Amino acid sequence: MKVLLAVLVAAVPIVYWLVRRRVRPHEAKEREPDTNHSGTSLPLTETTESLSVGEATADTAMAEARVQEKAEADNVLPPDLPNAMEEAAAATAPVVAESAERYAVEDSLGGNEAEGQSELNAAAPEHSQETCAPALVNGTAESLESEIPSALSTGAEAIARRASLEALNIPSELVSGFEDKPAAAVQVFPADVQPSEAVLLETRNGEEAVPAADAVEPALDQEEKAALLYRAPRQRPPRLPQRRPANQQEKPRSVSAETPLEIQVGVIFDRFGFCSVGLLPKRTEGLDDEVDAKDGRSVVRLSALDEWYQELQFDDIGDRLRNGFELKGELADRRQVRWRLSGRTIYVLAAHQGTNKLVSTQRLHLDRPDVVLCTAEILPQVEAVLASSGCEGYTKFDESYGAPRGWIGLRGVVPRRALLLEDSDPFYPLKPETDIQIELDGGIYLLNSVWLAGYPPQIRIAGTSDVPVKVLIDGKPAQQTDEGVFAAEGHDAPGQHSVYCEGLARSCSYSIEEAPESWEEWPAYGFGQAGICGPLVELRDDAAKQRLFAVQVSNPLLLGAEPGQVFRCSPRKSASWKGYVPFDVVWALPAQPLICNKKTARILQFRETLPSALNIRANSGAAWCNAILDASRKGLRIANPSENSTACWREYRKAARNIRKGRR
Amino acid sequence: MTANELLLWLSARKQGSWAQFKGAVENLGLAEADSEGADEGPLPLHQRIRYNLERLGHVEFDTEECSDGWRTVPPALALCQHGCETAGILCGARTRKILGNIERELNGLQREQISHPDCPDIIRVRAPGSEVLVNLAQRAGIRSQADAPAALLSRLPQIDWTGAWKREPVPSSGKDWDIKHLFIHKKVMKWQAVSLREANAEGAEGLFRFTRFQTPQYFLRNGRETFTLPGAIGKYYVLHLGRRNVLKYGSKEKTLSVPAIFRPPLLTERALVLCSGLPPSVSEVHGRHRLTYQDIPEEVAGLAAEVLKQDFL
Repeated sequence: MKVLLAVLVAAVPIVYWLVRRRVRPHEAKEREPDTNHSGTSLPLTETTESLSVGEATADTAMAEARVQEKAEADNVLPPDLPNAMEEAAAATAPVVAESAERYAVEDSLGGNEAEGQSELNAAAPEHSQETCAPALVNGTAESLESEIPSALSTGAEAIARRASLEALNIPSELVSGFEDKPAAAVQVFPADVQPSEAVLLETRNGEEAVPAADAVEPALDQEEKAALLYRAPRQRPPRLPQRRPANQQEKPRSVSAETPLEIQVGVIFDRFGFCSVGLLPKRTEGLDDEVDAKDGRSVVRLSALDEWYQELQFDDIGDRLRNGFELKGELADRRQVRWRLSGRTIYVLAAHQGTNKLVSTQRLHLDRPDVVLCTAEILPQVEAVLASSGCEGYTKFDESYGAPRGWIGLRGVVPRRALLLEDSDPFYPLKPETDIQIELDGGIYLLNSVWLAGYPPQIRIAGTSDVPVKVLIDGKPAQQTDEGVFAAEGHDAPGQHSVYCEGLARSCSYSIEEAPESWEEWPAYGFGQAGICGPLVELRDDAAKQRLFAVQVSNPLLLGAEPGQVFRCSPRKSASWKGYVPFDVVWALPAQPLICNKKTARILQFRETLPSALNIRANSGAAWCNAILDASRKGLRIANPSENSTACWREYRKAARNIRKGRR
Repeated sequence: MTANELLLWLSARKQGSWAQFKGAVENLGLAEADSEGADEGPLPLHQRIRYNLERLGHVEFDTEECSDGWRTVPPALALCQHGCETAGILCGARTRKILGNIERELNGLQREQISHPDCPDIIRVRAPGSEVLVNLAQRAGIRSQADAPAALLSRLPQIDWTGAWKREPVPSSGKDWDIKHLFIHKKVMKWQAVSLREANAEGAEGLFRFTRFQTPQYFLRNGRETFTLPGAIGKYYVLHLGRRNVLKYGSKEKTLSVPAIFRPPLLTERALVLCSGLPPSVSEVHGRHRLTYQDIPEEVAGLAAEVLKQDFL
C-alpha cells in the first residue's frame, strides 16, 4: 500500500507538468486583456455558474453529471490508479488546451472590437461574457499553479479523487476546487450547475441518459462549437431531487430569493367619515402566525389574520406609500421572508371579502364605488381623468380626516365610462376596465374563497358589456333576481362551484363547506380535579364520583351508608345548600345534634340504603358513629317518618354502637 | 353579519387568534352603542361581544390551549333548575344542523329565542325536569350539563385562594401609566387617581390599577406583599378584607344585584348568567349603576356569595 502511495505521489507532479506544458502557450494571451478581474480563482459556485456558457460548459456539465452519478452510484475510486492517471493526463490536456483557446477567442470578442459577435452576444447577459468567462480563464491558470501542490499534500485519497475526476474528462480548472472539499463539494456541485443534457434527457423522458459529449460533439463542427461559447445561458430547469440519507436533516430552506410578498394598503372609515390608513402584509399558507419583521429602522410584530397580517400603522405612512418599503422577517424554521410595498402616487382601494376595510387593488372598476388615494401634487390630473370617466359626486378628504400627510383621498369614486390606456399610462389605476367582473359578496365567508354552507355568496356582475352577459354557474344557466344576484340550481350546495360569463372569458370559483360536526372539549380552566369548558364541568379521578347535592342549611351534617362517610356543608346565608358531596347521602343531621333544639330539628332521610356491612367494624368511623349516636341520644326525630325509615335509622344506630364497642 | 352569524363563523372556524376575532367582529354591521357598564367605560364593540360570548359559555378567550386567541366550546345545554321546572340554555358552537336538530327534537317543549344587544340570540328550552332536557340534548347530538350554575360555582376556589396570584412588585417607573387606587369608604366605592410615588409608598395598601396602552394590570398590596391578580378577584378580596358586603339577593324576584364596579369574576358571572341565559341588566340606583342577574335560585346565590366571600345585604 505504501509503495502504491509513493508511486502515486511521484507520478502526479509528472502528469501535471505535462498538463501545464500544454496550457502555458495560451496563458499569456489569456492574461493580457483581463484587467478587470482579480486573477484569483472564483468561488466554486460562481465558477460553476459561469461555466454554463459555451461548449466547455457542456463538457464540464457532462463531466459533473458523471461525477455526481459516479459519486452517488458507486462512490469508488478507479480500480487502476496509475492507468487512470495516465488516461487523465492524456484526456485532460487537450480539453484544457481547447477550453483555454476558446476563452482566448471569447476574450477578444469580449473587448467589443469584433462586429460579428453581436448576434451571438445579443441574448447573453453581460456577466456571462465579461465577468465569468475571463475570470474563469485566469482562475484556471492560477489554480493549476497554486492548488496542485496543496492537493498533493492532502494524500492518497485526494490524489485518487483527483485522478478519478480527471479520468471523467473534467477540465482541470474545475478540479482545482475539489481538493480541499472533497465529499461536500461533490455533493453540492452538481446541484448548482446546469445539469447536463444527459441528465435532463433522463429526467424528462425517463429514458436512459446518453452522455452529452458523445451525443452532441460528433454533430458539431468547430464553428458550431465556437458559437456555443456565446450562447445565452439556458434557463435553469428545476433542480433534480438529491437523494438524502434518511437520518440527514434537511437544511433550512431560504426563501429570501423568492418574490417578496405584497403589502397592501387598507383604509377604514368611521361613522364620522374619519379614515384610518394602514398597511396589510400578505399572509400565505405556511407562514407563521406571528413574525417579527424589520423594516430597516424598527422591528414590527406581525400577527396573523386570515389573508393578511394585522394592519400596521406608521407615523410616516405618507412617505412609505410614496416611496415604498420592505419588511424582512425570519420564520420559526429559519426561512427568510420578505414583504414589499412598491411606492406609487395613486392607490385604488376597493371592498374586499373577508374584511371590512377597503383594500388596495389594481384599478378602478365600472360602477363600483372605490376610494382613490393620490399625492396632493397630482390631484388636478387625477380629477381630470376621473371626470373623463364620468365620476361625479365623490368626496375629498385630506390629512384632517385621516389621509396620510401629503395625500388626498377621494371617496365614492364610481366611474361610468371605460377609458383607453396609453403606453406606460401613469394613470392606469384610474382607468376602469372595459369589460365585466364577477363579484362574490355576502354570506358567511370563511377563508380563501370558501363560504359556510347555508350562507353562500351572492353572485353579481359588475361593469358593462356590449354583448348580453350569459352567466353559467357550474355549467348551468343562471337566473338574475331583481336585486341583480345570479343563482342557478345547486349553486349553494356544499362543494366546488364555478361561475363563467359565456363569451367574455370571465370566470371565478368558490366553494361551500359544511360546518364541522364535532368540537373537542378541553379544560380551559382547571381547578384541582375539575376542568371547566364553557358551561361544562369535567371531573377527574376521584372527583368524578361526586354528585351535586342540595339540602337545607339547617341540616349540614351529611352521612353516607359507609362508616366514615361524613361531610359537613359550608355555612351559607341561604335557606338551602348545594354542592358536590363525595358519596351518596343517606342522612342529613343538624350541625350539632346534641345541642340543637329537638322540637324543631329533624333528621332528614334521602335514601333507604342500609349501612354497609363490609366496613362496619372499620376503625375509621368515629365521627360517623358520634353523629348517629348523638342524634339518637338527643332523641331527634326523622322528618316525615315511615316504618322503613325508622327501621333503617335503627340499623344505623346499631352499626354505630357496634363500631364504638369494637374500638373499645 | 350579525352576532348570530358571528357565532356561526366562530363555530365553523373552531379557533383562532385574537386578531382574527377582532377582524371578524369589525365586519359586523352593528352600530356602536354606548357602554353598558359604568366600571368598564366605553368598551369597543368587539370587547362587548367578546365578554358576552364568554359569559354565555359560547367561546373561551385566552385560556389554556388558546392563549392569545379564542376557541369555540362544544355545543351543550346548560341546565338550571327553577323549582319544579328546568331551563336549558344552548351554549357553545352553533350550526344550522344543531339548531335544526334541537327544533326537531323538541317534542312540544317550550323554546324561546331572545335577542340581546352585542350577543347572539339566547336560545332557551323549558321542561318539567332535567331528564327531559338531558334526553333532548342526547337526541340532538349535543352535550348537557346538569345544574350548570351550581356545578360551576362548586368548583371555583373562593376569592381568598391565593394559589393563582403571582407575587410581583408594582411598577416603580414609567411615564405612560394611568394609576388608580380602589377607594372604598362608607358608600363611596370608586377608582381614585394616584401618582406612581403614592402607589409605591411604603404604607400603601389595597388594589391598584396600572393602565398602559389601554391594558389594565391589577396589583394588590397587602402588608409587605404585593400580588398581581385579576381585577374582579382583587376587588372582592379587598371587600372581604374590609368586611364590606355588596351582594343583594331578592328572594321573591330571584334576582341578585351588585354595584357595576363590582362585576363578579368571569366564571362566577358565567354561573349567574346561565341561570336565565341573559346577561345582567344595568340599572341606576341613586346615581350608581347596578348589575342585576335574573332567575337566580337561592342555593346558587348562596354558592356565589360563598365563592365571593360575601354576605347578602
